[in-house]
Amino acid sequence: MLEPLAGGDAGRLRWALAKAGLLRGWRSYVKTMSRLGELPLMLLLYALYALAGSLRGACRRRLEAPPEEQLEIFREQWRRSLGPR
Amino acid sequence: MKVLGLSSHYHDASAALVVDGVPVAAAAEERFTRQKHDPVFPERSARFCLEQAGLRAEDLDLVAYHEEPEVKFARSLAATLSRWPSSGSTFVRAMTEAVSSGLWVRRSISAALEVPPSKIVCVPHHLSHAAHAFLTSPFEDAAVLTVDAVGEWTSTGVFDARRQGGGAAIEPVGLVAFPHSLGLVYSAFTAFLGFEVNDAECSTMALAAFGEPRYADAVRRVVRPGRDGAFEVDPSYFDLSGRDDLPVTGRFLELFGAPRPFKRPLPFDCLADAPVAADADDRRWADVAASVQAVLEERVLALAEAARRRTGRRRLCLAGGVAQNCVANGRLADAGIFEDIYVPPDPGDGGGAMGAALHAHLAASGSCAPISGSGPYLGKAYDEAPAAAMFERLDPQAWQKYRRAGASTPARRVRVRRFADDASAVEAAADLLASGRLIGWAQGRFENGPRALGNRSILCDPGNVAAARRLSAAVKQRASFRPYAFAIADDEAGLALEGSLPRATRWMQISRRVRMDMRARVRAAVHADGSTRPQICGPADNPLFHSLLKSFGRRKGLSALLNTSFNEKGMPISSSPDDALLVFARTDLDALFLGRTLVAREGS
Ligand SMILES: [Fe+2]
Repeated sequence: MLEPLAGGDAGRLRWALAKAGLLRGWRSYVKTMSRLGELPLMLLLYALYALAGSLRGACRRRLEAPPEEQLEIFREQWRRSLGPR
Repeated sequence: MKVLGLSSHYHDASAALVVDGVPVAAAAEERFTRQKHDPVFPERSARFCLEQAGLRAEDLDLVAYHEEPEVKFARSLAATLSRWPSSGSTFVRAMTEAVSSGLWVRRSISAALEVPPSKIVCVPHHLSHAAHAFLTSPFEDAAVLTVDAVGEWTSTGVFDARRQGGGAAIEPVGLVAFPHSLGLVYSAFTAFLGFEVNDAECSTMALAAFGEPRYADAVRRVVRPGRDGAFEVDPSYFDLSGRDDLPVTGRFLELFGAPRPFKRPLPFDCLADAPVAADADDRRWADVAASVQAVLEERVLALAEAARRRTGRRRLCLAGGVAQNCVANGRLADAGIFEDIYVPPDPGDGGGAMGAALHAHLAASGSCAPISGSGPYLGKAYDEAPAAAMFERLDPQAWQKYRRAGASTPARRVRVRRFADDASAVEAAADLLASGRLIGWAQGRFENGPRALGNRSILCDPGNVAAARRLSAAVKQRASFRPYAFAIADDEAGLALEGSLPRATRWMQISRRVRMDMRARVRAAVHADGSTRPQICGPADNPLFHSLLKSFGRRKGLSALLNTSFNEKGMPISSSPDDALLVFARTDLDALFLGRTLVAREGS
């Protein structure tokens, strides 16, 4: 999952985010990012912010997801918390 | 199975130890660091929990954290990116915080406690709250409502919970997601009213009793009712950029007027017999407080009705920061939606540590402990002898310069007396209380959570208004609009209080009306609207404190004592004898009981 991010182009980044579940959990995506360590992660985040114009819509969709979808996402979180780690 | 629960990085960092599903120790980090609401990694409280149970970190089966840091980070990222490009400064702050510490919670836990990462689990925040509320409740099944500012993506959760076959199921059946949050809205109004956020929400609640909800319609424009108990917050009233201490926009100020400067005193007085003169601004702020309180109550009621409909359960457990709003809890009890209501002693994020541990234990073992009603007395107990002996030799003049402003009694030499048994200490304390003295009462293990429930309390006669005024001025430095509450022996509670007395009254979590004919007897601990937040204490809850209440009752006719937390303004509640002695030395407290040891000023 790191590959498209390292490529750095906005289209692939966006695709990677979508694929990693921007509209769903985000968790695995962030977990992968966090393996980078502090400094590369911070740089990546700044790069992300610079590109955020193109991500804004996707972020808004996640924040404004309908209640049923929000509940389903939370239920996924709940099921994961019950399962093997 | 031994599970340590932790919460940190927001406020009220805490640790709790759960052994085979039973909470055996719990404390907030502030009780050891002496920094109120300390958010640091709860290393000291974690060590205390282990020591209390005679365990080492390697004995732990799991360490559970009260939220999922990656999910929280994702929400924070999405929230800032969605407001691009105006969120630049928020982005820098949020990301720096996350990248410098918040995101690496597993690593810091692993390093601090020397446990392998494989033993660390992160529990969704609202599930931590829900597990805490339900698994410490006395109910076989219940609806659970968790309402707070925000945890990961969720601000409000509804759960269907039941015990079954030695285990339990706590299933999410509804939620309201960030940014729609009652906790955040209440905190924004708290900031507008000039009180400290995440600390003085209780001041907003106290001020509400002096106002009329004239602005309720305006607040309903800020928080709009949604369908099936849900609600929507209109973001145009809030400025989340962090540019200003006050997180509201011009639109908000158009509705509610100028904010209250935090240094401006409020004239309202709970102990006055007639309403005091207040100017238009003071009245407006009280009206705004009454309005946001009224709308919060409407929303909580609607959520409770939805929870009842969705789960069909007859009992309710409440947790999350908003569950500390005892007036809303009182409204809920009076509404009769549920037959009984339970709020744990520490419903906020401190309790999240215990909830995370309880959930992790349940998930890993498939079992939970039978109903036990674990109480709040899960903190540390101390030996008072060395501190008391040291204090006896101190020169009173030496501490004179450290005395609190407002403390008037000149420092006099103290005498220390040790009683042979609890009964004689209790009789001596009751004598002092009946004669109008202010006493500190520090016994056994301290309470987990924000309420003093008879183990770290300052007490006085609730019928003695002059004593309460002295307490406010010379010990607690407490604003006159903030009420005191009383503790009362369980068999006499019905004499003094109206309405139903649900479980939540055990730990001072629910507001009740005081019977008209009894108000004079407890006048100093009744709010301007005739309500109080009682602690109803039975012999099983706290035997020593119960015997003190009864002993006082034999002298004064009602077994009730004004009970307030053992601290000075801005300080965490006293933990150790040293903390208690410091309060005694700096203020006008007349006497201090540390276990069976009485420390009193000569002549008191
Ligand atoms: Fe919370």
